[in-house]
Amino acid sequence: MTENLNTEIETYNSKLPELLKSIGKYVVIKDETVGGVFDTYNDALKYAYKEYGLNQFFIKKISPAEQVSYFTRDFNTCQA
Amino acid sequence: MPSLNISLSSGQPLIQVFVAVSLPRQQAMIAAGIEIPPPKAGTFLIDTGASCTCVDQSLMEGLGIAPTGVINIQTPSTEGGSHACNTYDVMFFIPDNQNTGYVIEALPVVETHLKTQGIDGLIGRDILDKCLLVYNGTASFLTLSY
Repeated sequence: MTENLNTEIETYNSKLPELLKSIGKYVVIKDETVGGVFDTYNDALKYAYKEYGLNQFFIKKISPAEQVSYFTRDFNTCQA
Repeated sequence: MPSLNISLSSGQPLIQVFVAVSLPRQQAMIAAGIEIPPPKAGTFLIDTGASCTCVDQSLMEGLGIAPTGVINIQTPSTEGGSHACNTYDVMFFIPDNQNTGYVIEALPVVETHLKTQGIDGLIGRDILDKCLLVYNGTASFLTLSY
């Protein structure tokens, strides 16, 4: 799986100033469009599949700074 | 609160889980007339040192899921830095002995390579945050309540 989400990531970064009023919520982005902001990951995912079907979309938890997930175990990842 | 009591396997907190297409994606696949791939079984390590849950690529391949997110991760080999990884939405099922168990309808997971370490994934704190975990090392078992 090497699908590219760069367009959606760029959209997220460009829209971040206005999204910051919803910190901690989940945003759904398709290409250069913000589909909506939702309280939970589940709600965001349900909306995205209903709206975009099996086409590509992007879900991101809104945060003022990029969050890092930490792992004490080492492993190889499938990088984006 | 339902509980699972699991013996430690070779001193490790290993647990059998099933990974499947997330419920919202299943509904979209049904609407599109596409067959839903069967769940994949795997042996996962309960890892309190993992921020989030990871699934080996071999299990993910069989599900045919496209990425729906990206997170930055830091491991010992990233030497203090981090890099971006795709995340995939899956359904996660931890069975008990009564043909029921703990179901998470949609969970974002990181695709990794863990097979060489003898496991198919890590159960991270994103799942453990919703559970009570008791690790009884002297009696060599763990209890996971959900």
